[in-house]
Parts: sequence; structure tokens; C-alpha cells
Amino acid sequence: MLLQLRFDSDVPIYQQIRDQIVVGIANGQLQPGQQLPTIRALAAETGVNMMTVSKAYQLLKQEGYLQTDRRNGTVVSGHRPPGQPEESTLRALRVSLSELRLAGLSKDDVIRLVERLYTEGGD
Amino acid sequence: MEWWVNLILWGTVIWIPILMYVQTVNDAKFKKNIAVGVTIPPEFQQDPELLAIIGQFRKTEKRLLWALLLSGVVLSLLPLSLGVMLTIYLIWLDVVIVVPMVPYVRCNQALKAMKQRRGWRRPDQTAAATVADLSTVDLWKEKPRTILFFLLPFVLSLLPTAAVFLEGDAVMGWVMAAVGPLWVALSWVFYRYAIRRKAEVVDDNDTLTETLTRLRRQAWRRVWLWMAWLMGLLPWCMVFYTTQPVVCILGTVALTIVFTAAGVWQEFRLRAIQSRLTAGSGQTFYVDEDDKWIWGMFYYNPNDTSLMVNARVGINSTVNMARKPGKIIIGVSALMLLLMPLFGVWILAEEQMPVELSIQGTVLEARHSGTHYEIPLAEIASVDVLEELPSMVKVAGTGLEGVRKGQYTAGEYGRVTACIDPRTGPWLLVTDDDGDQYLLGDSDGTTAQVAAALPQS
Repeated sequence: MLLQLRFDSDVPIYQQIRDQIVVGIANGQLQPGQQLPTIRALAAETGVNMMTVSKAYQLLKQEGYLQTDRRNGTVVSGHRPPGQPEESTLRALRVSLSELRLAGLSKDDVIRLVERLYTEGGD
Repeated sequence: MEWWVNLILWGTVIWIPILMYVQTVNDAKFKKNIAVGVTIPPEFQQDPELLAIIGQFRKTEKRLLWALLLSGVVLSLLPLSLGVMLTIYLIWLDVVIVVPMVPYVRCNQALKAMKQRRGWRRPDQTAAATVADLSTVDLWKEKPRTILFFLLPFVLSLLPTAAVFLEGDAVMGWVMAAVGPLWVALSWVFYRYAIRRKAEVVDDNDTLTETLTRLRRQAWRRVWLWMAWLMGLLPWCMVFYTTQPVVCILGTVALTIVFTAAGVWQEFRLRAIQSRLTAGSGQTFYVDEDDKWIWGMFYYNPNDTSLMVNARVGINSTVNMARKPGKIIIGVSALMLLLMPLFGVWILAEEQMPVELSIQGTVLEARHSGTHYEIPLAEIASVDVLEELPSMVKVAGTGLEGVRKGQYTAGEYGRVTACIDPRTGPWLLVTDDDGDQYLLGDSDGTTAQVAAALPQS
């Protein structure tokens, strides 16, 4: 799975890493139990600071997407996070829906768009 | 200058324009969707305008090659001294390295301009973006071959070095230790630790990324293993340095040629594989890092914390010029390249400067440029005047037409510290109270007078 980071984005790098890994898990590019690079390796691969990668991994662990395995290091969690979405996710969804509404999309347009993106797994 | 010295000098440098030509022209062939340092989308790689620019670049490089080779042949025919020839060859070498880069940069700029004009640039892959492949994680756990592969060349290099030390020749022993065991150990360090670099991401094909990365790492490790063997074998040639210098030189030259040829072969083999494997890649997504490469050859990425990075194609490495150490490394390398002819000027000055021998108060003083030997007259045990020079083999020091200085082995006299002009005799063999021997002489033919003034001549 490819990770694409933008240093000129308003979204912090750790957040970009976190978001893309979540999308990767959702669309099946990252399978439960699949091993992720070590913090050091991913930092070297992307050229970012190790602290940044560490922060992203920490966040993903807290949210239940990743877990630390003593033998395999950091792996994609087999357990899904709790069914109820986090408040932050709902807040982001509200903002996105408002933006789409302001862009002139009808409710049906938005539902169709969401259905397509959901099927694609968030790509 | 002797004809064979000229031949060796010529043979050392004449192949470089050929190598530069082969490399720059090879860069014009697509590898990882890159030609002449510019990433081109797969569907446009056969564009007629693009092919015309690349074709013109190839023609210019070929013309340059013939001009440089011809000038190299003409230079070899000049009847000049070593210092002058060395200076000329080193200036020529600068020209040979820098000049082929001019059409390269011009072609790179033309391709970039065309890419911009045609709208082939990827807006999502600017200098402020990076791509990494999460699936290449297993490569990080790859264990290199055991240190045992390096132990054999290490032991091999240690044996002649230890033998020379045991014979009591510490100077030669240390020289051999620096060339042999130390370099074998360094090769292992490079083999083992200099490998942790970015994966070779070309597109979204994980298998391709993994294959390209593995191949590059294998090639890198292979070269350092070969380097260990070269350095393991070199001390065996150096053993003959004092007794059979021709064997030593021929052995060293043969080993260097074999290693260089193997390294060049490895580079072009890897490039060929990269070209073959990535032909047709990037149909849905491709990596474009052009904005991070100045002229397609100097890496500049302030968002990358790495100092050492892979060259875009082949096996080589380069540095990130956005980092201070990177700037220093490139700056020092460029300076060394440009100042290289000064080495020839220095040899020229050494060649021209006379050797002086005189009595200054209570000491016998031999002097040549920066070298300065003083022997207190009270410590001189014996002085022999030699009308003929013994056969001399340099251990460490300078050996030119007009001067021999430093540590030498002088025929039946054994190890001496020399400071002579071999063209002007006689020469003095001075032995001090400690048994140390000095072979001294003056360039202006006054050695006999100095000898007469010495206490035990």
C-alpha cells in the first residue's frame, strides 16, 4: 500500500499517516494481522521525523486500528474499533456534509457519492 | 618523462570519457519512467518531440566523446616532464568529467520545459510530497549474509601484513594494514549498515517495488563484498613492493582493473534490469520526484531528514543538498574536482625545486621543499661517498626524476632515509650513532665539498 504525504498540506503529517492507514484498512489494502513498518523504518522511508510516525502509530493504537504484537511489532488490529463512531469522526463528517451541501449537491447526490466511496473503501 | 610512465598515466585516464559517454547515453534510456533525469508518463515516452530532444542529446555526447578521445591521444604525444604532463592530464580530466554534463543539463531542461508545456506534470507530486510503500516492511528484516564472508578476506589481508611487521618493517606494515585489514573491515561496515535507504517505489505495484529494492540492495552488497576481496588481496601484491616492484605494480593494476570492471558491469547490469522491469510500469500511478532533483542529478529535498539517498537509477548514492552536511559534501567534492590540477602543479614544483645539502653550525642539513632532515654532526658514526647510486625502491615518500626523498630500500645498504637528486652525484651514505642510515645529496653538485667538511668523511 502506498502512503502519500504532502508537506504543504494544512493537515499535520502524523494525521495524514493516520488517515491513510485507516483508509488502507477500510479498503482491504491492509489486512488484519498484517505487519506495518517499524517507526524507524517508516520515518526513513518517508523522510519524516521518527516522533511524527510515533505519534501517528500511537493515535492508531489508541483508536484500536493497530496493536503491538511482541513477536511481529506493530500489526493491523484484528478487532474493529467500537461500532459507535468517535465524536471527532462525527464532527468531521458534519463539516464534510456541510461543505458538499454548500457546493450545491443535493441529498441524493451526497448519498450516491457516499455509497460509491463506501464501496471503494474510502479511496 | 619515461614513455612507460606516460603510458600508465594515459591508460589511467583515457577510458574515463568512454565511461562518461556510456553513462550519460545510458541515462537517455527509460528506467523507472525516467530519462535524462526527467520523469515522463508512460503513455508519452514515445512522443516524437521527446525522442528528437533525446536523439540530439545522444548525437552531441557522441561528438564530444570523439573530440575528447582525440585530445587525449594528442596529449599522450607531448614530450613533457611528469609534473607538466600530470597537470595537463588532470585539467583534461576535469574537462572530461564536466563537459559531458553540459548537454545533459541542457537536455534535462528541455525535457522539463516540454513536460511543463504539455501538461505532463503531476500536480499531486511536487517537491512538497513524498511516496512510501508500506508493504516493503519485510525488506527491513532482511538479514544480510554473515560476517564470515568477510572473515576470509580479512584473514587473507592480515597474513602478509603480519609477516611484514614480524620482519621489522613497521612503516610498510602500517601502510599494508591501512590498505588491507582496515578496508576489509570498512567494506563490511558499508555492506552491513549503509543499506538502510528508501525502497524503490516506481508505481503502486508492491511486487515491483520489492523486486527493485531487493535487486539494488543485492548489487550494493555484492560490490562491497568484492571490495573486501580486492583489499584482502592487495597486501599480497604489496609484499613484493621492495623485492619485485614490477610484480607489485602489475598485481595492483590487475586487481584494480578487475574490480573497476566488475563495479561498472554491476552498475550497467542493474540499470538494464531496472529498465526491463519498469518498462510499462506506472499505467495507473507513477512516482514523479523531478522537483526534488536539480538538473536531474542533485537531490534537494528540505522535507527529507535523510542525508544519504539512492541515486535515481543504478546502484550509486548521493546526498541531500537541503541538509547542511549534504551541501558541505557536494561543495568539498566539487572543490576537489576543480582543484585536482593543483596536485600536478605541486608535483611540478617538487620536480623543479633543487635538493639542498649543507652544514649549518653543528648539524648536517638536507632540505627539499617541505622535507627537512637534520643530523647533529656529533652523532654521525660514519660517512661513505657513493659514486654510483644503489638500486632504490621507495617505501614511503616521493620519487621523481629530480628528487627521491622519504623511506627507501637501497640495494645492499637496506633501509635508508633519502633526500637526493638522483641525477647529480656523488651521494653520501651517512650512518648515525643509532645505526640509522641517510642517503643524501645536493642538486648543484657540491656534495663532495660538504663531505670533505664532515668530521669522518
